[in-house]
Amino acid sequence: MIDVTGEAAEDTAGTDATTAPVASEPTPTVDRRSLLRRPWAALLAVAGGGAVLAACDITSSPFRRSVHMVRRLTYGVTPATRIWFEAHGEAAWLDEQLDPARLNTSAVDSKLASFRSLSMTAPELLAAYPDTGSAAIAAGELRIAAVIRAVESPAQLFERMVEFWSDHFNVTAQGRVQQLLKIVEDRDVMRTHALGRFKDLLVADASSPAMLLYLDNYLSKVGAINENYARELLELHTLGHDNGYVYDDIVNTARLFTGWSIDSATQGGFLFRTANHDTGPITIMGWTRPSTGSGYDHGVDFLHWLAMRPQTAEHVCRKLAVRFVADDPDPALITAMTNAWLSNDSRIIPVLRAMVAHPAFNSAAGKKFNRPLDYIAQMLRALDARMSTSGSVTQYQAFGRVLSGLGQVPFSWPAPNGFPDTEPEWLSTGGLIARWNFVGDVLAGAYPTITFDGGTFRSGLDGRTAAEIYDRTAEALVLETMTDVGRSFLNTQTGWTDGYRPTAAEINAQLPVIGIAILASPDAQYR
Amino acid sequence: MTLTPTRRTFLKGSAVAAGAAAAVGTGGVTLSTLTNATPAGAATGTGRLVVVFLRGGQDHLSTVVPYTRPSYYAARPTIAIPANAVLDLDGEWGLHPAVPRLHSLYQAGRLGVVACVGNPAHDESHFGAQDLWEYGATSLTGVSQGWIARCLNATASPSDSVFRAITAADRVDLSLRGYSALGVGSIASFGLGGVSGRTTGLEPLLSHEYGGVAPVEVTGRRALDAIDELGAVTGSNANDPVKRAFADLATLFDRDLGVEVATINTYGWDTHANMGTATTGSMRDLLAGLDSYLADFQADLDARGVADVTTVVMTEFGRRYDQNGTGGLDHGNGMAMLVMGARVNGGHVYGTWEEPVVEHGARDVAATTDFRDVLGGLSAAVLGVSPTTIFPGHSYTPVGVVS
Repeated sequence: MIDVTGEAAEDTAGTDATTAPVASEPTPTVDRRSLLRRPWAALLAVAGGGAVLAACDITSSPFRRSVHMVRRLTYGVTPATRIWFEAHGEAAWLDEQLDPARLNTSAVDSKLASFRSLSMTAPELLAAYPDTGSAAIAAGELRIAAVIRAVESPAQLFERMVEFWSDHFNVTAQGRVQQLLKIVEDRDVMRTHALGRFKDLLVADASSPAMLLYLDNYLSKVGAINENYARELLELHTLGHDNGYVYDDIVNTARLFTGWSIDSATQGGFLFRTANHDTGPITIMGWTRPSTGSGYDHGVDFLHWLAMRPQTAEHVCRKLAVRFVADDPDPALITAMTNAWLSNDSRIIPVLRAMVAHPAFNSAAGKKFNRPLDYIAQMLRALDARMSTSGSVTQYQAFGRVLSGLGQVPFSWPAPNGFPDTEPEWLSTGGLIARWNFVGDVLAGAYPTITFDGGTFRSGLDGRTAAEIYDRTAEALVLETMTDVGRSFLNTQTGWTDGYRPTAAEINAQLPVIGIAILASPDAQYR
Repeated sequence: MTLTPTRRTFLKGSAVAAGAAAAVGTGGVTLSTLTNATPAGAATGTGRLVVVFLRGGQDHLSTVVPYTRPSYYAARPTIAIPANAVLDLDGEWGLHPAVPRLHSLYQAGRLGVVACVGNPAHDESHFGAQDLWEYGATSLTGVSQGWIARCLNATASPSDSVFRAITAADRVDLSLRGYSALGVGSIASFGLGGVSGRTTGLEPLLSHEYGGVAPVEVTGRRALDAIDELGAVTGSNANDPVKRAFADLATLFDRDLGVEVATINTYGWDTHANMGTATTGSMRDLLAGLDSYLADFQADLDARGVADVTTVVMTEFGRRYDQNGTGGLDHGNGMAMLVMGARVNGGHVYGTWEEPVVEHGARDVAATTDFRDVLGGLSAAVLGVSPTTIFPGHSYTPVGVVS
């Protein structure tokens, strides 16, 4: 992703093509010309990877630890989050986030009640949305709801985990029936098990009609198998690519899941078709089919066994660490999380606690590149924006095109592996342009379904110096302060000097420029 | 605050395009007039390349059909393409009836086929196999750049156009990882202003902020440079994103922007179930779409007089030889590659047929041509980079589909 002009690949003929094909990329000095000052980033970087005592250094700067933690575990810091966090502290905040039943989500819940599809059963959905056009509208409600929940729900870590599992067990919402079944799956699988045990989530997903349809398992019968689900179960959902299984294991896994199907009476429910199930002896890696119980029970038994494989724990924990901590997470962090998984029967909460408690959690503060949804939610939360559920179809379609341009329409990733997660995957010219335009459009009020009270971050600026206005705005929007270079540059845009006290009219005129400068900056692409 | 001076460069390709346009004229170009219009004057390695990646694993034998092979019909009792339905290529292979326009291009010598291509690594994971293809490798160990990036880096210069390499999507493909490629999801949205149209002051502001050397800043600066160079080019507004992306690519190749390589993707080829027949079903629909995307793109280039573009079509793996229990095909090995346009030695099927054998418990289409021999040929003939540079350690054997 960097300029490598002049870095001609050397002709290394005779060496193994697999090990030395090209000159490696030069490593750039990461020296962003920041508008924003991050005195705490260096502190956290030093602390990262150290012992527990190093983490105590962070607690000497509790505000910055809190900013980092909230940025990573939520979709961004709102004014209310800050007040709450600072009043109650890290431990209480995390306890609450890990127990979302304690959080009052009634405001966002009642708002989303107007998206009727979200509460329907599969038969109701299939009856209510009889054609592709109407099904797309229902799926549109699910997609917009994901954005609204990211921006507005108090159950932030819960919503982040729902998104994580939606990627991990990706089902592309495409085609009428699959779109409608995805609505059910989101509610009954992802949202039901997001902070529970992985083994329960795995069983729920395996018997989810959306997944059964997406990876074709609903058709698979004894003597006439389909390998699609079995392969992705081992490769993506549990063990990891090529991680301890061979082709025979895929075939035998497919045999074990023959009969896991969809009830054709409604097309909407799970049905174990005994007649389609392969009842022969099955051995998959170290697992052997039990001699008692039903074929369905055996599938559940195998899923529970898979969930507790060290490879599974390591694979999923690594993905969690990439999502929440760093593109290239510290192996010690993965080990700590994997141990928590294996000693807690694949419960997710102890894994997340182990992650947050590990010193490496702090190591990449401010360096994790935001995915598009992270970016827009972070910005809308900073603005304390509200998203309407009563817009027109046309307005939501227009917003959908914006999400498409940004590259992340929820539930639209076209392959079973889910949206990617690292900076090289997401950093691109077109992506940055879409982000910049989004900032300009939101601040210009260009989206009728997104509103925010500009007065919130306008207030308190009258009578202040230019330098104070810049700092207060940066503080309000991204919890940073301005560097000297940043102030100097903004002065060239506003025509002010650091000590100048602009009039109310001048502030009104220049605040959008200051806002864009902050929200479209390189720093704002990271969390 | 001023922007960096734009780096408008006339790269190789644009002069050839202009010459070809002058030779055949930009008006009234028909397929037949171009049929024999070999890219005269275009020496080896002066072309431009489009890489089309069919994500999901396109089935070889439904696309390029071995219609004389009894074992093929025995292996696929319900989904084989009947011999009397195929569009014959050479008496041994035929195309699916849903791709008549590609067949016409083949007959006109403008499209070639390489049958039975594979990666010796034989990874049957989508994601493992795609990574290996895009890195042009048999193992990911120690590999840090995509195969196209290696080609471009081998001939890079400080005057390279910011448009030299493009992915027709906002996310840049892995094959270009390691080169500063542009992601252009659509021309229509590749500019400042968004839906509000607010641009005042935005460019100098961003230009200042994205002025450093961190990857995000370098990328941002390239975005601003590209916007500046692109100017007021009108992009496609087609609803179908693939159709739109191909149309935008033709526009970009037509401009003097220095475009040398573009990558583009289509999805949905993971046909595990209910593939249908020669006349109906998902495979027919996928191929009909591909026929129209590719033939429209070539016709668009022809109409613009752009005669130096070679297009190659690939996928991560072919599918099983035998159909599965659900009217589809699980992941396999040998694939068919299509090559179209300027540098192709078209009208011929390359590659060698071998009857499938049971391997790892299943029968795959035997891969008899190493994918590096096809990519290496493109590298040499189109981009002017030696295959041994791109695939060190691989003993390169020309396939002959391009020259």
